[in-house]
Amino acid sequence: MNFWVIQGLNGLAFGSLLFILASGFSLIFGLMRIVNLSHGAYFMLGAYVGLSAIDAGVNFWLAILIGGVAIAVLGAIIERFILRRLSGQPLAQVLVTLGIAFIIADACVWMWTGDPRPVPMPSELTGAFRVQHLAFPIYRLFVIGVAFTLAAALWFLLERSRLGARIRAGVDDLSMARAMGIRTSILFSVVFCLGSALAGAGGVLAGPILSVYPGLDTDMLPLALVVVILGGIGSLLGALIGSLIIGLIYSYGQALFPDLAYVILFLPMVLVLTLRPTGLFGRQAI
Amino acid sequence: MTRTSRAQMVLSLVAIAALVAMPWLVTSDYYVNIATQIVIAAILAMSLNVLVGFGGMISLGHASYLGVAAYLTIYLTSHAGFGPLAGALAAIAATTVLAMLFGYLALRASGLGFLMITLALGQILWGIAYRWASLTGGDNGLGGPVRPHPFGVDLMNPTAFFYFTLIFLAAAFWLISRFVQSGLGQSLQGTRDQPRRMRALGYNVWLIQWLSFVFAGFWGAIAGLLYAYYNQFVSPQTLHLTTSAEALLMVIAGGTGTLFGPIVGAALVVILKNVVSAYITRWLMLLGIIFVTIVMFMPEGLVPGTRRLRGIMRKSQGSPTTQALPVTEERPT
Amino acid sequence: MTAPALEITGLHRLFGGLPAVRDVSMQVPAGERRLLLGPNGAGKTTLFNLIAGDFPPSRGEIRIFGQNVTKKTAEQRTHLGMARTYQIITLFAANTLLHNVVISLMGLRTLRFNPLSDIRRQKTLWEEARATLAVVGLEHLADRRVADTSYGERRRLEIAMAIAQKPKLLLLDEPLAGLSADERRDVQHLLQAIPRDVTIIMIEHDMDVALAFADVITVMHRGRIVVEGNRADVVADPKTREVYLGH
Repeated sequence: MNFWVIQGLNGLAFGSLLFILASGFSLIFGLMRIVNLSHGAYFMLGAYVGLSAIDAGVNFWLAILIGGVAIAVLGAIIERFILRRLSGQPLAQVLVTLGIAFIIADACVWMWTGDPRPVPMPSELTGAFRVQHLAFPIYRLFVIGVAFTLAAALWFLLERSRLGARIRAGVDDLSMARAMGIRTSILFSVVFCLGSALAGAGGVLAGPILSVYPGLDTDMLPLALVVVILGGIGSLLGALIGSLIIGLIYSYGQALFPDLAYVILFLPMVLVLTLRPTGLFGRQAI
Repeated sequence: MTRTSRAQMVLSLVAIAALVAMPWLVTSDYYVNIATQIVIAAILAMSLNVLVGFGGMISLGHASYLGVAAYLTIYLTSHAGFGPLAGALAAIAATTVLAMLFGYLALRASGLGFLMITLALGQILWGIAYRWASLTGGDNGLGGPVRPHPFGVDLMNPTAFFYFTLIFLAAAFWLISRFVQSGLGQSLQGTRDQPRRMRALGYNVWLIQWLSFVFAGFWGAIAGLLYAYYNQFVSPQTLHLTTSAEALLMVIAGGTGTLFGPIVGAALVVILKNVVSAYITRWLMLLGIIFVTIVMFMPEGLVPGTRRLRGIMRKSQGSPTTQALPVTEERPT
Repeated sequence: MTAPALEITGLHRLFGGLPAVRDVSMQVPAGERRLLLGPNGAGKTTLFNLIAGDFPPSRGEIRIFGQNVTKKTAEQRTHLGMARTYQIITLFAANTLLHNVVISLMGLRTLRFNPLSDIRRQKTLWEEARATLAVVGLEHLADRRVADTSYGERRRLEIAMAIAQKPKLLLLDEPLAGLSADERRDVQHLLQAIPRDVTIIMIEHDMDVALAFADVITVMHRGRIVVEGNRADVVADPKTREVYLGH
């Protein structure tokens, strides 16, 4: 019984990290129809940047901010000078983001070497909650809290703010939104920066749990894709539920049959694609 | 329809002649082995080009068939007691069945969705190979002395093996070129250009795409078989996204609209990779830079006479704003 | 009594919240020439697309020659003897006219699944394609790429693609749109030369040609059928004027 609870917590924590990554990816895909294959690399690079900041003496919270901002800036540059040049060519954009992912990944190995680096946990959050015989690591609870807070914040942003209204208009009908005077190019930049920032900050946040290592990007990116396929495009709720499901499956899978953990990941994908190709909450076919 | 200009034909014939005569022109086994690598890569690239160039379907998971066939060949022949022929046939057959499944799943979407699904499926396979160490050897990979000696010919000799693979390349080239000009191949190209029109003309677009996907997977498996024979070793890296990306680069660099393009692309990428690895360790970064450069500045590829890729890249798939009518992919059940 | 070529009952199609086709019922007997009229946005093209099978209706039933095709895909309907042309050019621009017609012919042949035999060797296929081009007067351009032809020539190729399959039910979406007077006359002759046993449903704005051509006219407005009858009836009906002039 304890096993299920502990692994469940791990699964929710991992799912939460996945949500932070997948939400940014889903936002970018939903609005700009760009499959940002660099997203995993952004996550990894953000983690490395945060790690270097911490090494330089900066506190953990500031490091998260630095990680997020650094990647937001990188994302802004890439969106403005590379992706925008290819607007109207979605497949070209995908391939370019793939190329950029490789460049970033190799640059990370160059700058931070190939050794896996754990990110020290902030002292405020070390230790565990003890309930009966169970110990719930505080940091994991914190991460879950962050994900739900983020989900609420994003929901608020999308449903209740003017920016959100513009984003939703753009997702629904881009040319109409433009015709109504919404400055879509600025909107694109804002959304891409936001998505990138989430990836970068998420990487730092994930550091104490996942560590940072070469290959983190290609470990996380396909999971983000599976989340989007599972949860549906353009759905924040889908991204959240999908992330948690994948997180739980992965966690239980890892613990129960470590060899076959990845095989288990196949199952939700196969089920969703066969029975409900729009994903659990999606409104359009993928 | 493929249009091979006269210059391309001549160039290709010269290249083929050089390829065949090469072992005599060159003294070092090292170069013969590079040529063998090119041949194997060319088969992989040609198989992917069936999807990308002739089908307009961009896959980032084609390494799946290379890797699975390679793993199965080594496992069955070296660890499960299969004979060389039985092992090869079983590996090819099983990989083709995998292509049937993956094709079904990937074709639940089109364009970007298709790409995402192929990528995800490919990486899941990589994860399986990496984790299921008891079966696949995990990160250490799987090895075994699997190179066959058909009719007593010792294929451990690099030159002999080179000609062995060349036979497969010739067969692949011949059969794929027949496919391209066949009813199914022409239907596939029509589907690439005007899917809605093809439906109205009575074509089952899904079925045509799925059959082509399986055909492409089959030839990817052949490449995997030869890969296993050549390296006598396979690791999860063979299934990784970077391998799929390299295959796609071969297709893009060589030019997607032709039969020779992928062969040229394969040669370029293999040579580049070998040269680069000798001097610097930043192959991945170079791969990325080349991708970005080609996509942004040379979408026609390096082989002249093709404009397919730019056309394919321009196709907006599934964007709600570019479709006046919803969902041409909708399948009434 | 043979089943009508087309029978629609209570057809309804919503896009988001917008009803493009509202409770449309229609019967077209075999061999009839039917004209669909109506101002832009009346729902004519949506109705066409529903009949052709591009997407399913939100409600209602479609029968072709008595067979319920409501749940059948577009390609399945084509195999029942239906063909259509498009308003927007969706031809294979990089290929020759002959090749385009060959693709049309192949749509109904099992050859389309054959991965081995070269279609260039299928002599009968190419001859039939050439003959079809001759019917529409484009034989002299057989080996020209579609991209290098004029708009009028492409419109005729559209028709060639459709009649190549010898359909029993032909849907023509504005076959005369954008054509010069001479070209219109040519296409008109073409349409009149189509055998009488082929049922034709046509959307057209060119009144003279269309009214002369049609046996029965259906006028649509805002997704509904408002007037239906022969030429005299429709012209006399005050609702027709209302639809077009607003009063």
